[in-house]
Amino acid sequence: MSWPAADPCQGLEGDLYARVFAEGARDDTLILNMGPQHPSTHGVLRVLLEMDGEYVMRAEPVLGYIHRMHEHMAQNRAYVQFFPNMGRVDYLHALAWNWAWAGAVEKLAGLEVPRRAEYIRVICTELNRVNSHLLWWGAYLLDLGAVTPIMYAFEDRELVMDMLQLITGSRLTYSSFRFGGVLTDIDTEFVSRCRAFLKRMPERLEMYRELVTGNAILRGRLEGVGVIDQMTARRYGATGPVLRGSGVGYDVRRAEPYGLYHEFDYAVPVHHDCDCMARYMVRMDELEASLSIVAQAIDGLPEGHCIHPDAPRGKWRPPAGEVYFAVEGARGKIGVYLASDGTEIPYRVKLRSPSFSNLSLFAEIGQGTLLSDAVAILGSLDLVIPEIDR
Amino acid sequence: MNGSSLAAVAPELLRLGVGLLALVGFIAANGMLLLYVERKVAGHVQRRPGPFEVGPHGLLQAFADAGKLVGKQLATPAGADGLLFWAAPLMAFMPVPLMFIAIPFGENLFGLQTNLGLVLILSFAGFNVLALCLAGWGSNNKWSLLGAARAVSQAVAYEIPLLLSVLAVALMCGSLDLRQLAGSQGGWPWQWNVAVQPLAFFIYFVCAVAETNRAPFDLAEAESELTAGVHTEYSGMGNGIFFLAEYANMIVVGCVATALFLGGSQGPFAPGPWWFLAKMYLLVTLVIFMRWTYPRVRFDQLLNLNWRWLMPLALVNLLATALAVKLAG
Amino acid sequence: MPELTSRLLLAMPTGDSGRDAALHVKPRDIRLVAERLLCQDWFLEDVCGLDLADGLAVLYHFAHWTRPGRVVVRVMLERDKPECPSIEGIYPGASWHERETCDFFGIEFTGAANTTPLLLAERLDPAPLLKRPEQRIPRGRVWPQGEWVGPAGGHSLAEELMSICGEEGEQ
Repeated sequence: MSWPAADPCQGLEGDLYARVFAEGARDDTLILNMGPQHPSTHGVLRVLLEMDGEYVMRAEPVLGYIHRMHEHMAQNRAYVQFFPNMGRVDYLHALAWNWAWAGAVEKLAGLEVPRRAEYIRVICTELNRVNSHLLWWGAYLLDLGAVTPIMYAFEDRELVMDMLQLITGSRLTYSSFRFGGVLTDIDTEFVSRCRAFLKRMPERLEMYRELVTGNAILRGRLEGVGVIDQMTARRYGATGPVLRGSGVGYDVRRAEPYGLYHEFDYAVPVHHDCDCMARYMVRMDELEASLSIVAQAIDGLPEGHCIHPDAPRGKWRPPAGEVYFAVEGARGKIGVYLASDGTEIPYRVKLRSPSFSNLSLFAEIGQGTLLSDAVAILGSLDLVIPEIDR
Repeated sequence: MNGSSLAAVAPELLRLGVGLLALVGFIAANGMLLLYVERKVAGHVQRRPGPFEVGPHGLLQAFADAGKLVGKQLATPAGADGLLFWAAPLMAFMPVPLMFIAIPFGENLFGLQTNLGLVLILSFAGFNVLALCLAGWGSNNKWSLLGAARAVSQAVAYEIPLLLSVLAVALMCGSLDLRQLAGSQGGWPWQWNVAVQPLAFFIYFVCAVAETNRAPFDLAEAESELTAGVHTEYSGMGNGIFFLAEYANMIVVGCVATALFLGGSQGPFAPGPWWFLAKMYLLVTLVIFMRWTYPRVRFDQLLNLNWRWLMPLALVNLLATALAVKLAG
Repeated sequence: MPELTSRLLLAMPTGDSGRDAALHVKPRDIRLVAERLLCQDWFLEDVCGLDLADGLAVLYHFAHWTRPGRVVVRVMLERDKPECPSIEGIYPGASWHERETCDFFGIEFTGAANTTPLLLAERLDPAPLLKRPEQRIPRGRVWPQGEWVGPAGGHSLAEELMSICGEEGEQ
């Protein structure tokens, strides 16, 4: 299509999206731009809302404000050079994206990963997931008007970030996985810190449960709000805690096992209420599940290399072909489609981000809710906008 | 000297003038104090020290904040109604000293004795809604407008149970004069009105938090939903005056609660204004604690709470009080 | 079944490529296939464009909540006039994926309700992810024939999907 040459709504205010949106609006409603700068859109998401008083009649997310074209960048650099990008796609669960990329290339080239490296991957990724969920928890309550919990969450996150800094060298945008293993081995200091953290967390989670989860106002805000039934979840391709909050126990770690997840004993938390509270509870339970995986992995950490001795380094040519690799990120199913022509740079990389599909739900379930509920629903989807825009 | 000319002024007028001046000073000082207290409480609730750099334990932080606010540019948004936009903060603040003059801080420490003190305070408190309404409309901002709509329906709804609960006490004591109301109670907690009217006190307290737009009822501001609601477009002292008015309103409702329910300046041993201030600050600190503890309620929940619970309860309470007074009298 | 394999290729689990089955369908059949997949409770993972020497390809990745594996439906489009029916009416979640593919590859999805650019501010010409002619590789290189395991017969899902596709024509 071409624009603004053929401008269907001359004389109306706003940009293309606002004008297209306003075309379908009723006369007596208010078009409201929520974002790209808004405290509850967590970044630069913009949602166009048609409001009848406090009620949202129609909602449409507008994307692209932090679009960086990672897929194009992937086609312009060597395979290993794409790792730093992965840390920046979803900055909250960077290691899951690291794993998705490493896993896709390893699958394409048939690379072997030493057992110790697999364990280190599990430990780091799960710690990173704990980190991500803790931040979500704090930020979500901030959306709901409770300003204190995020400070408690950050107290715990700080410990995780310190630990991960020891082995990855960074605190947020990790890029420490490599084809055939991980960059650095974990040492005794990491193990002891990790054990201390695992000892500390159950007490903290208990406190969070008592202070926040049981709060009557919080329950009033979340229960019965933003109901996503299973059919809607399927048609929009929702995954992760959003789907598990709708009563579907779909977890990529179980459905398409990768790494050594099959060696660990953990429950996939499922809640059947389909509302914001169910998604909240799923994430709170996942914190415990992830901590239990980390505990098992730390206890059973095998000896060996942290990277395969014959792992490819620098510019390297994998075989031609295509591969699809999925991992379970904190927000849902992360997929990497990789087509290779046998040269040093990938031919085509497609990044399937879970928030992208989860957010596309919002236009449907946001209809007819109160503005406060719309905020609660957006928060319950746990959006990371850089991941959506990529 | 001109002592003679001073004597020519009516003493009542002089008292009013001095009282008003002193109260404006008190309000400003209180604004600073509560700003500091709020930030410190917030800090400690959130496991951090709060302001710590300016002065010992950050004591001078409030002055730095005030200096910063005063020094900032006053910007009027494009398309805003300048007159309404700037009238709003003034209108929010101006009634506040007037509300204070009827408050009996001590046996003889008050600005104006009037037998309609309570009515005076409640009627001037109504101005705040108008200010928020004007601010929301004048800002030419949709978020502010939504905030104003919330503020108006919230304030109008919560004023009714507030009045009814206050009325129950007034009926009991047979007066609308705050001094008499406070003086009718004894020094010990079981002699206070709160012991006789616990339900009215509870309703009053909930409504007071809602009336002053404090969390968990801060829907007009609702930072995470409406950016900052009616305050969105205000910069510098525009915002500062709203803040000052908010803190002053908190003190007013605290004062009224103290005078009506907690025995005013009466207290065990040495009654006096310190008792009054102590009780009032205790209530205000409680309100501050609530803000940093609870999530925000939703708009329909807020109104439901009012129309379904507080209002009938307040009515029942009033009727029961009336019956008791009739039977006792 | 020579004409079947030519129209609808199926690869049985290879494990290495991360998919269960790959189906080639003609653009006009994509809606039927998507409908059938929805009936069988598959969900759409993503829609992915791919620029090949033979033309533009659109890959639809489907996964299932309870069945393992992944079904890839491939549609080849002409380079001169890349048009593909939208499956938005069946999988509303496809709408954004299609708009994104339109941004990146210039592929028009006909019948979509909303065709405004999704991630880019405007349509770019040429579309950003299109390859220069000398960079393009033939499809046989990405999807080597050696990967195909025989004809579609015997795979119940494939047979079902095949039966709803149009009879004549070749891929």
